[in-house]
Amino acid sequence: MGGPAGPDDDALLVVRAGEGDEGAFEVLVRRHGPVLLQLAHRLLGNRADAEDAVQDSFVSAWRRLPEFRGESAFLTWMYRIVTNRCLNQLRSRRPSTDLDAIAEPAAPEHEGSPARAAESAVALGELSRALARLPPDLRACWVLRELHGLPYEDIASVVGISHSAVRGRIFRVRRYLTEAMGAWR
Amino acid sequence: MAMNTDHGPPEEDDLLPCGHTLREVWEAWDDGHVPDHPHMSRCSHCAAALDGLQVLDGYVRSARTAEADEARAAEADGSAAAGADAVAARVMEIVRLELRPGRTLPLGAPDEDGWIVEAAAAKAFRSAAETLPGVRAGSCRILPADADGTARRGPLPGGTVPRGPVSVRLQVTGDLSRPVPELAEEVRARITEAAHDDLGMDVRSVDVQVIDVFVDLAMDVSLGGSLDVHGGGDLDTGPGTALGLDAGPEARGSGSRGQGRRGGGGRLR
Repeated sequence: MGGPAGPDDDALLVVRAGEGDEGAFEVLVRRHGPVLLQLAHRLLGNRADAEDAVQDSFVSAWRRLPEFRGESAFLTWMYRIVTNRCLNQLRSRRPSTDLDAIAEPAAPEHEGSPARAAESAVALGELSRALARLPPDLRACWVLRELHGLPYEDIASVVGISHSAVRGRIFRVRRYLTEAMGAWR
Repeated sequence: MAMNTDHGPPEEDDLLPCGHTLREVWEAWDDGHVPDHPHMSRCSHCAAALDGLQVLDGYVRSARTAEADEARAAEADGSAAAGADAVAARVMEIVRLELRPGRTLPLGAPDEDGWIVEAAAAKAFRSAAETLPGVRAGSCRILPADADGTARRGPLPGGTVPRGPVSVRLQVTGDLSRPVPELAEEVRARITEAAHDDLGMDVRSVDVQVIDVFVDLAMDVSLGGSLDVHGGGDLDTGPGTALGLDAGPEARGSGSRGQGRRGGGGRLR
């Protein structure tokens, strides 16, 4: 097979998958699975739930592909399906388990003195806990923006709110986080 | 915290002593407007407001680095790939077990009573097209046809195309190694061959639409928007082909009119 790989190639594979080409769908699953797993892990806080969410999202996408008209890129569409699935799961969780389930990032080992590394690890733990206290849909916007680098328009389409509503949410999360992190300034 | 009001009156603590709000300053920073801003680039209150954001950004960067390190470690010990692979394997297991309603098409001689699902026949035709260098196949539809090869409306998914001739409609992308009409002609030949030799399917017409032409792997130029649509005499393929380049048989010589890149897949009968 010649031709380009990438977003253009995605469109071709999406059409084929929509017509029942399982091989084309498998290429899409293997190409985009890792980043979607990362997103689900960030939103849900643990690997096992993330794998379940991504698996269910892909299966749901396969069923809906014949109706997918390509009005957005396949990956953006998958971001939407995975984000919604994660948010639904978080809403059905008890808040207490939600707080504890968020993984703390590991301390970077290579940064400066042990004391500074320890301090920075504490700060990262604090950041992670502060994020965990946010309502899931606010956190989702922030994660899509700051950790996945999505443009505001894509986040709006993923989360299903307006562009300016996304900006409003990002602002609120940042303001909240700067306050929460104030102790470490 | 109001969840869905976005440009409401600024909360009191958002208002900086200089009259700008925290949100204005942060968003200007986000958009890269602060260095050129007559006020914000000089104002100490705005600068202080940005300090907070930058401290946060520093932590977020560290968090991203820590996460990336973790991901690299997981990659090194194979656990990340194992997770993604396991998910892909489970997804594909479910997908392959699932029956998607598709059309059933007649195969072979009338007395043989052979049938094939459209997805399987389409797969064979796409593979046949992709034996050509630089060609990638996209949508492939197989419709019932009249004796002269004119495609008719197919049954709904799950239905059966009555025994008789069929018409193949295939979309491809190609490179510039040959003029588009030539490309379409080569694809058509492969489809006809596969239909006859591999499947034993009575394909009366093959409609090849070249939907994109790529210069090379690294730098592709989509010509879809600038290609002329010639003819229009056989745009009987229904909706969903707006991108397609349906050229009637009379347009087959169009490659010589352009610079060898325009023109399209004429229909072969």
